[in-house]
Amino acid sequence: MAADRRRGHGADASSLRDRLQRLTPRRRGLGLTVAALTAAVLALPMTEQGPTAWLAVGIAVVVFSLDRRVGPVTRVLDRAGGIVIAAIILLLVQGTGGADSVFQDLYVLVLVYAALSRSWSRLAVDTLVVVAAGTAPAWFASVSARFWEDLAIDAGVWLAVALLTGVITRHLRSAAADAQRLRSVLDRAHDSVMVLDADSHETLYANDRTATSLGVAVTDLVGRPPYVVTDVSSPETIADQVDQARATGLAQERMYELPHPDGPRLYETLSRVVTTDDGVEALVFVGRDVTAREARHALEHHLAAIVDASDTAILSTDLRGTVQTWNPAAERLYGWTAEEAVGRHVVGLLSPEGQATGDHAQVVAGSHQQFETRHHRRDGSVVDVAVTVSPIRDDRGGLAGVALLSRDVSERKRHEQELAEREDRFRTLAEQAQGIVYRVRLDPDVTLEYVNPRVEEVTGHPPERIREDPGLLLQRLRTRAEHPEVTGTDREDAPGTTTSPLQRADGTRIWLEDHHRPQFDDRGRVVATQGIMFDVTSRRQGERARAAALTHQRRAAAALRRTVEIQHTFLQAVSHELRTPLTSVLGFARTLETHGDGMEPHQRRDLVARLSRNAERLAVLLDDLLDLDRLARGALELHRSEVDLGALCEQVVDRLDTHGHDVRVDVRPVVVAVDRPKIERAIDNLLRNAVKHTPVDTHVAVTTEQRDGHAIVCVADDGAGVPDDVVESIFEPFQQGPQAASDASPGTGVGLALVREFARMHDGEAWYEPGDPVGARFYLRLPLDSDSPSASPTPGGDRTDGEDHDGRR
Amino acid sequence: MDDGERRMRELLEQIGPAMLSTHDVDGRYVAASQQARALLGREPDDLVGLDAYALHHPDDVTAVQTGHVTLVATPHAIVVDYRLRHADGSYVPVRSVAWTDRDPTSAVTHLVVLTVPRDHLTEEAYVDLQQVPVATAQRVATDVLGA
Repeated sequence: MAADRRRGHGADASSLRDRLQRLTPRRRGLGLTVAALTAAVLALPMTEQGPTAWLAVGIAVVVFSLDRRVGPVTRVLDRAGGIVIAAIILLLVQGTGGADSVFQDLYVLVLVYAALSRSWSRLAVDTLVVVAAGTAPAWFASVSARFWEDLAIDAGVWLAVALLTGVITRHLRSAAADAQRLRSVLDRAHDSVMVLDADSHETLYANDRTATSLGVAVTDLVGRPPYVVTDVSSPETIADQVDQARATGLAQERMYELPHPDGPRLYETLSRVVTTDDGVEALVFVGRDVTAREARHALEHHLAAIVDASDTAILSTDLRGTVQTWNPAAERLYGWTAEEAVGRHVVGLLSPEGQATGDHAQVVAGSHQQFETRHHRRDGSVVDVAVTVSPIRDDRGGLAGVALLSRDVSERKRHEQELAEREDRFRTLAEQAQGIVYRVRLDPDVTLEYVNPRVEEVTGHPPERIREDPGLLLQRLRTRAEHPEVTGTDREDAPGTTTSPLQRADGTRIWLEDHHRPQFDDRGRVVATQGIMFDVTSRRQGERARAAALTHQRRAAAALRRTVEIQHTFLQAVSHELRTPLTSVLGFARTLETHGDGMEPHQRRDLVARLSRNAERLAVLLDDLLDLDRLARGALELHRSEVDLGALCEQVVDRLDTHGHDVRVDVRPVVVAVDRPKIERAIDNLLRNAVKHTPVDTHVAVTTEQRDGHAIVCVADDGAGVPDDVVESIFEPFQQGPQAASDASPGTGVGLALVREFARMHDGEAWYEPGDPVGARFYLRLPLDSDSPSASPTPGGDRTDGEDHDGRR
Repeated sequence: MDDGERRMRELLEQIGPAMLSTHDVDGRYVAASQQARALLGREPDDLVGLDAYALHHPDDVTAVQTGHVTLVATPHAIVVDYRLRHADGSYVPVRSVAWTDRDPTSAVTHLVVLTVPRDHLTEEAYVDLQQVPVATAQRVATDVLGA
């Protein structure tokens, strides 16, 4: 849908109006009329051939008119033999007059034709030819004086008419040619030209450009109002334009937006009402495609808006440095308004001191130059600015001016200054610090950016060496696989403390505690790490010593608690073990004391025997306790003699109170040098342990054998065995095994402990194995070949009646 | 004669084909020293009125224009490397140090350009030239060229 926009008169309006003026046809009609009248006025009074002359004038006027209206007629006359046509006309006229008259008129017509159709040179030639051709017959037909007189008069008159007519015709033909040329130019014009009848809106003329812009053919447009064949405009719009043009007498300027396959096109039009020579009022449109110009203007407006809104001072100068443009940001930055700055010279305005003193050269390369400098403000203050200078080029790439962009960097400079001061302070502090202060860049490569001199004192490596290989200092940056002993966080994306070993230059190892903190870039990536390291080797050693002592103390406390518990248990057990036989001894003794006299001899012997066994139990218990005490004090010694362990086992079983158990003895002679009382006690304790901790009907068996250079005594039973949770501790002192038979006491926890200790004293050992499939097996293994000197050898199976050094039997 | 002027004159003597020239604000030659013959194979008078950009290698025009406008818009001298067309049609790699001559209102009146073959200029001399003040360069140019 087309749109039209009215605009005021622009710069192009005058030239368009000139074109409209050139379209006025009035001049041609006026020339034609003047020429015809002049010819008639000049010719008629001078000739006697009035009717013929009028006829000639009439023909000339017709030809003029035809030529003006439809120029091709004249061209046909010219090209197809105008002479022949003229002769035909002459012959037609001949029927109304005599031969002389015919010839004379022939001359006149030929001359008129020649004047109408030929150039002046051709006119002269044609005149001679026709006169010669026309006068020859007359010469021979009549040579009267009258003829020559009339001929001379006619020739003179018609020659004058012909000359005048030729002048007029040439003028008119020139005007027609001009109109034709103008039409040709308009047809090929880059601008659109269209002429409408102001009343009917019928299109009188439209050039190709107009038709193209409207999307129709010229032939479709001419003869119709444009709104009939296109969507452009409307009867009301055109009528409105005509009215306004008539009212103001001025050209009307409008903008039209016309559809186009490549997008809407904008046309700027000027329209004006003109009146033709024949009195027709026409509305003449001249339009121009200004799409590109408007787009350029729009872009310029956008750029201007950007420049105006920019926070960067943007100014331009010519090649003398004279300021041409100055944006609002420049006003804010420098204090000069645009009116004040434009026309002044940029260097004098912004860098007066630079002009006076000269600065070092700027090394230039590329399409623009960037640098930082100090500019002066209007108030005399100085501002740090970042400047970009670039060329402004004309359409041919030549230098046309200078663009200068300037940005206030005072704040940044101040921050940089503060940063530098802080860095100085930091460096001073860092270099006096007791720890190793460092900063390492991690990306793209690991680079030690700073380390204080303390590093050499701690690591033995000079700072230069550390810079070459930061890994010497920052071993936490290596993989955990290389340093599994590293403790603490090794993440680089969070602050942390890492304690890791470091090998000094002298090869010794120290421990460094590294308090590190990451540095991030704008995208959150870790780009550096910095921190401080302390040599914690001494502290770490002290900590480990304290930890070991603490562990030892904890263990000692636990052992003490265990000892107390054992003592408590032991006292309970001992009191029970002592009380039971002691009560029996006392009971039997009092019975004998009170009733012994009345008893039968066998009754007294039985009581005495019982009294003796209980006393023996007390003695054994006391021996165990005393031996354990001696072992604890290291006061027990061996007195070896050769002993047959098989016989010894039989003797022990013979004396054993089996408590109803079936004790089997399956022994073989095995002679070994041992401290007999201790080994006898060991075997006795094993057997007592078996009968005490197994039910009455349990089988107990004792065997001996010799194997791999050792004598082995095994006491086995088919009882419940030893629970798993006490297997490890049953040979420990005061550790009590599972509850034995219902009538048995739990024991003192001393028997098995003595078995193991006596075995160890003989370089042997004692151990427990579960029975197969049930029961328990206790082993006592003693080496057959002992380096210890034997005491007094005793016969196998004989019990040694010696005493220990403490007198225990 | 200050140190800067002394150093600049020494350099002019030491660097054989060191051409000193002045240009109008558009870059046209106003005057050129005799060294134009050795450097470019051209008569100094033939250069007068010639657009200097016409002698630049097309690929270097942008950099020289940037140097030109930097001269105009700042008080700094500039240094730029580019190639100048010799009379025999070849291009000569050169380095120019340029200053501006300004009137009392700071408007640029002339450009003063010292042009030397790039391989003739030691780094030391190059640094020294960069430090020649504008006023000194103008004085030397006036003396050498009689401008």
